[in-house]
Amino acid sequence: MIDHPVSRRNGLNRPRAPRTRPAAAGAGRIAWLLWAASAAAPAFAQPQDPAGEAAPVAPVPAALPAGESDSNELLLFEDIPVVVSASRSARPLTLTTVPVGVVSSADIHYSGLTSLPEILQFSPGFHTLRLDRNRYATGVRGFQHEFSDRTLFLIDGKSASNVFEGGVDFQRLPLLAEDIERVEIVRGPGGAAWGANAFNGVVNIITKSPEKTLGLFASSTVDQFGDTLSHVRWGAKDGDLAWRLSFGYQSHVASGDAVAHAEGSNDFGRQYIFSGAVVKTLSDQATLTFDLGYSNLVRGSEEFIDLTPERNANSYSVRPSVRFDQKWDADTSMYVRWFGNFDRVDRPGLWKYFAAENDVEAQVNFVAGERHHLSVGGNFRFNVIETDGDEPDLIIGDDMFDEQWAGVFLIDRWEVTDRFTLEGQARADWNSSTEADWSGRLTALYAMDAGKRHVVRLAAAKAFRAPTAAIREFSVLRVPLEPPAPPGLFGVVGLHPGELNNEQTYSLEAGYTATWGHGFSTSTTLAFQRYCDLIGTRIVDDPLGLGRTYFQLDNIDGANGAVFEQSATLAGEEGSLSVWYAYSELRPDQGNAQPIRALLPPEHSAGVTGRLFLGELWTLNSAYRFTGPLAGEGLVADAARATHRLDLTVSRRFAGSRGEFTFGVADVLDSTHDAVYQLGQFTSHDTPGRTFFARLQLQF
Amino acid sequence: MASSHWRPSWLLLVALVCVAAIGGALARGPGGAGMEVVVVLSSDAAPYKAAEAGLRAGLKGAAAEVRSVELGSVSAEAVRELAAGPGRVVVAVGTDAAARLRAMAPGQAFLYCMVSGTDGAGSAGDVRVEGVTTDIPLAEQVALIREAFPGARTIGCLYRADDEKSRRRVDAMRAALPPGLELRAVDLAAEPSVAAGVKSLVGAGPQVIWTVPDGAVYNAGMIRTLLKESLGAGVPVFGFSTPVVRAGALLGVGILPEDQGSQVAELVRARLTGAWSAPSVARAPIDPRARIAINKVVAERLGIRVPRSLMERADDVFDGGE
Repeated sequence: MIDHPVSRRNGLNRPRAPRTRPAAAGAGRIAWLLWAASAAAPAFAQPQDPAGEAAPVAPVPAALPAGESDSNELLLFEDIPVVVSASRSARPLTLTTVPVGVVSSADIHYSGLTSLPEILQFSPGFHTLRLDRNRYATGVRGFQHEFSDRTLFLIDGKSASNVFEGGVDFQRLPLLAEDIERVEIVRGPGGAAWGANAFNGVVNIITKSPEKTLGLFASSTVDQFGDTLSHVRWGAKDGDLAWRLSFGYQSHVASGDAVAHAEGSNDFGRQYIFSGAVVKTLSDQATLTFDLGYSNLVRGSEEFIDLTPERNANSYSVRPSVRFDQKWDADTSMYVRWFGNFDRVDRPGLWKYFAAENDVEAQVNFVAGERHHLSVGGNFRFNVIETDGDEPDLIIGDDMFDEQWAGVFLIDRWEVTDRFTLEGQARADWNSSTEADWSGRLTALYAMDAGKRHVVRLAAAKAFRAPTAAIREFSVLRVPLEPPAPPGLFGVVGLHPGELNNEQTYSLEAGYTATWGHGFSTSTTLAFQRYCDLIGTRIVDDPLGLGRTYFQLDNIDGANGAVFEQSATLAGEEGSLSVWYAYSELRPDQGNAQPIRALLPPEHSAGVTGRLFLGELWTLNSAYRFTGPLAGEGLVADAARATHRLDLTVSRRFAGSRGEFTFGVADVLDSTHDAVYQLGQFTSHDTPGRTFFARLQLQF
Repeated sequence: MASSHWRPSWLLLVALVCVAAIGGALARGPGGAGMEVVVVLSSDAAPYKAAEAGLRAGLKGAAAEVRSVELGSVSAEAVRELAAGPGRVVVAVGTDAAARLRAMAPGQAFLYCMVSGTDGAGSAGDVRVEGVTTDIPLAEQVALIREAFPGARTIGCLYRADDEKSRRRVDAMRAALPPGLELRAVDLAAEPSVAAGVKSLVGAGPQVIWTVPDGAVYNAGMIRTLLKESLGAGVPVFGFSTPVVRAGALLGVGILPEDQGSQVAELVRARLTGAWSAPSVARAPIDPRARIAINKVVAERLGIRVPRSLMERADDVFDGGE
């Protein structure tokens, strides 16, 4: 998709020396940093400078004694570690046109977590509800659902959302946590800049470039239940060629083997992962990048509309890509890319399909006149989906779908004056199976100071979500009726949808972002959103009058949403502290969340994250999140309770920072998670809460 | 019979030697036979070696043999001998080499490059000594600062009052500033610590901080401290080298050691032709070829728009893509 400035794979790719930490003498200055009471991921945390050094407090040395050499020419060529890196952001977060939260590689590393939904839940605006050990209902600003297609997921700008199901199955992604450079979470409609179907938010997972992962790396994590994650990586550079190869294996036991009251659960999982990247530098200004990801996932099947298959689910994913980048000068560049997503999924009781997605895209960035920074581009995507309906319980029959997408976009960032910037984004998309549509965003940024450290933002945006093949072809017959009912009748009947319109959302936003200096920054966002034509389940009268459940997916409802988000971050040499609070309101016109295939966001949520570096060897990390009750009106059971999650880790480096041992506990405050139900589930079970884990990492 | 075989062989051998001598003389070109260029390196540091490489590249095709010695590996006697040798051009690479040559072989002619300061390591006024300095003219630096920060009225800098060269640099910069532009210099020797000195400098409220390659003031750690503090306070830094700009100064000037070598190679060629004669008045050191460096990431971080005219002339632009 688009090479948005915030997510361009930039950064100084020089290998960095193992990080050193200042003496504990500085720790006393941040006595306010109460590690034990902290939680939650930062909204705008500034990643630590990996080569950070403390400000020297030594006395000023005397001038050189007479007779000693006082030649200064070598000072002209002395290499100095970089203080500011563009890997943090090619554009300061104060100047982005949408509210963006960044989860850095340090946040991921020190959390000790291996599951992406669990890592991202500490970010404001991102909601995670664990359904079982394999599945999560995730969403940005609400709309959490296992098949959530209201959030666009990308890996390095390439679509990671499933072309058939619409949402993302995190477990199927060929991705390992320690290969992630950062995750950008865009809150609000992002359609114009990020691609079609960026309806209510975008999550862009950016992986580390090969030059940042040189050497041999090995990591092994194990927890008290016997769950494991093993990761081996080799990165190297030879002349103009650099590569990274990662191999991983992850497994977890079923809930029934971990906690009480979960007998009979089958939510185990085993995944094999390969992820590779090769970058060839063709010249000072041109590079060619090859990526390949492979994942094989085996996991236990789950109940859906009263059917629990006996066979396990199995899936294979292959994700290759080739990208050519050319830069002419600092303001003029372009890229061309092909990527493919090939999935073979066998999910008993739901569907069995092969999906092939091929996408070709290009983007050109240039400056017109002095003050217009333009980006122009487009993409063409060809999808082939072949479903296998030979099992009667599958909800999608035996069929084949071809689908073509084409989209073009234009972004103009106009620096009207030194302090006032207008950015317009417009995108048009055509889909062979649904209707053509458009998305756009108009943002005004005004800097209240010459240094642009205090920026006010006003924006209006529009985005859409086209119904996926799974929705367009959905139909189901479940719960066969017993005599005296006539044979061939079912208690639950899902009718094939008719013509479906695209879902629409419109938003008005205001924001204020400030960098106060010395590592302190704040961000405030206020947004109002209107949703139209949301697709959900419409209950239909039983034509036979037997009282059966008849339903059909249709554009049934609209909704109004309001959001207030506030965050503050303080980052320094000794550590960091981030605090955020979010108020969210999503009110469907008809008042019930489940028919629109999503949970409502919690009205109140908050988080605190803290990290403390003690000397050169120890790091303490904690993350806390409070999630208010989830409204669901009877279709959501214990998930409606408010929850508190606190994660704690302690890490110690050894062998000259070549090794690191981490000990941690996830979800300290909750020993067991109660069963969670979502639409279509008739049964559920408890899942493990508090989990002790240990991790050993070696780097050569 | 043997003698009849030998005579033609001897003749052939003499003929071959003559041909070789004539050919060698022709190959050397003007300047005559036996010209030698001796490069005296201050040390084996990479920049000095790079300057030597630039010098060698600049002398390709010249009728002279080039050899190099490191200062630390030769005795004072050997240095005197080197400098005094006829048919020899001596090039000092680095301030130490130039100063030692001057001290150990006074009165001898030599060239230099990679020498900091404009006094040629004490050779100012000596008509037999010429060279290329690493110091970029202050007027050039001031012009760049005014172009990049047209609204700046105060420039800040650090120096040491207990170091004569440091004081002279500040005085020279003050003299180079046009009316309306003021230099606010903070004396590091009067501060309790380096960090305190940097804080004082930033706190003095300059619109831009000017740095100079002064070993009495700066080292790598000190530069990082200054860059971090100034970034935190939103004050741009004018860096004295390309690495400083890459590290976090917004704008700066730098030089390439290879360019120093190729510049002094031109002086060497003039001396190799034998057409050079000492001028009546000593020549000032030759200014280095300066390279403009800009850090776009810092510019964006500080919200400063670098003029397009400057961007187009920049030799090194850091935007995080490397």
